[in-house]
Amino acid sequence: MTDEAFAKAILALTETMYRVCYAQLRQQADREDAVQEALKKAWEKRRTLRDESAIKPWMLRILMNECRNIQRKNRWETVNNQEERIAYPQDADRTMHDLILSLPDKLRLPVVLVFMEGMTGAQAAKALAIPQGTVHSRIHKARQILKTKWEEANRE
Amino acid sequence: MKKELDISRAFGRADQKFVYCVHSTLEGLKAQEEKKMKKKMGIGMIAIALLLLLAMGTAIALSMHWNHIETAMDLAVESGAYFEWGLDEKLRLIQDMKEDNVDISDDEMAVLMDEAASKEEKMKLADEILTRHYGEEEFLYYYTMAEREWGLPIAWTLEQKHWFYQMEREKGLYHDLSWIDLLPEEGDISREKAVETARKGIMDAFELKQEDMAAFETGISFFITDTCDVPRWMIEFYIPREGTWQTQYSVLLTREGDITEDGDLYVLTPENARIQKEEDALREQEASDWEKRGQKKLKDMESVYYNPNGGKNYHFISDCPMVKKELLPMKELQKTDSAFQRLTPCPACVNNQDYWSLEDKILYECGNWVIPEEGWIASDEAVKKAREALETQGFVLDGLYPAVFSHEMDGRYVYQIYFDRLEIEAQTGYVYIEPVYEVMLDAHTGEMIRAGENQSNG
Repeated sequence: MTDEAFAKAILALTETMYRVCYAQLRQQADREDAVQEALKKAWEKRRTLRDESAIKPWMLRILMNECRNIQRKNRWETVNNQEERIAYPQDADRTMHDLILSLPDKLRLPVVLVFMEGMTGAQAAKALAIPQGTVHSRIHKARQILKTKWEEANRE
Repeated sequence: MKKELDISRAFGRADQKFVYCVHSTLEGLKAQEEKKMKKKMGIGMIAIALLLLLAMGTAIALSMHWNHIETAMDLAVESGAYFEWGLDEKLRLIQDMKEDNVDISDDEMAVLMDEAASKEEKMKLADEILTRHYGEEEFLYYYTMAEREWGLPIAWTLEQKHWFYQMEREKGLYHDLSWIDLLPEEGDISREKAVETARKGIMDAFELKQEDMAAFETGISFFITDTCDVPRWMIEFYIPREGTWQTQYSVLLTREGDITEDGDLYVLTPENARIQKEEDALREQEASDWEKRGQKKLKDMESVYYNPNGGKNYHFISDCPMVKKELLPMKELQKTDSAFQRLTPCPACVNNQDYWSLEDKILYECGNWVIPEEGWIASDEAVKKAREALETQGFVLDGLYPAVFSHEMDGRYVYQIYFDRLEIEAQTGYVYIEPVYEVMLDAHTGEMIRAGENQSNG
């Protein structure tokens, strides 16, 4: 894969990378740090990626790893700053935004990958490095929570 | 009416800053790479070449109707990314597009020029025109404009490559001087002849038939590099893929049309193909050697000790805290050395400072940590306590790496310790982290605040 082709393939993942970052990091600056760091790592390793079709789960896995690094280093800032104001993305569905972010971390990422990115269970499992069965059970659980909360939100 | 549960719009679209961040990072990495790969070219020769090209550039732009692309380059320099452009910038580009015969109706132009029309109306129309021609706003910049109009960059004509990259250099958008696209002169072989010679060379070398070659498109360049100031031809046979391409064979030809090779430019030849295969086999063998020892290997053994790329996350072997503790003084290691046999992945060298002791993190200034003060228990002691607390609960910590952090929380200092499972991707050497357990304890008293399974994602 040429450098140019690699860069193009990564560019095509911009929206996906945004959503994966958003699911894990609340601060815009953190999301930019994470994607920048992940791109650097991916670029360094690009020559070793032989299976071009695997670029999406591969890139997302690196990105999620970088998000996690930032997330846990920042955790205490968040703990100590509970009043953090939520700035919604301009075109977001606010109800759904809050519902997704209210999910526990473990359930949120499978939801983003499968429902937002349209990945199959197998692809999501590869990206998350967890068994496919675990993806399915987390999705199932997340759906139940979302459905209940969604109905509650619509009743109000 | 019942609203459907639609998750897709929960986070909206990527904000412009994020998009710009991705673009600029990739552009920066590409430029850095090209710089790194090539050696310095003689300044004099470059200067002469550039002066000649400069004079030709403007004339070509006018005659080929590429002025609007040059304008987009100017806007990138003056105003940055598309989302930062105002109405004036957009109008300037659209006017040049119109002059270059890009399809914009007279009615649309009339609205844009109408002094009575509101700024919002004009802005909306300008966005409509530009996105209609060049796609979504976040991808709208001079490079993608050229791609929309000319197709894949590999397929650009010699004139397009020569003009475009020269303009980029002239405007400071691209600083690489190690590869300069030129135009053939009188006396050079024709493009058709160059392609034909390359095609025949590939067919002979790889025993391909004419019908095999039919699967490939052809890209052509005529260029000089920082290591060779005599122009040469590069002919690439590629397969177009959705918006990109994959080069299958590339052939380098001398100016006179003879097939040649160059150590600085990777050209696929039967010999190079053979070397590649051997290297692949060797890597596989190495991976299985490590596997037999129950260890996963990093990309190459050097990376365990020293990353030559430099940067804040990397260091010389003598500075590596992990190596220092375990292996120094070291000599050049061979696979048979016992030190090599004992080797485990050094997280420090694969950009993972999480696993250094807190003292080492502070010593090497990695991150913003609360520096232990007098009265704190040592981080080693904290890890020991954390381990005990988890093991008492029946958790098994074999093969997990402790990552120590220190924080201030509710007026007291705490150690936060994760026990992580590291997975090293055999192919890339990239380390993935899965925090399995998490412990928090008071940094002064050692009082356990929490110990159990990690609650964050994984």
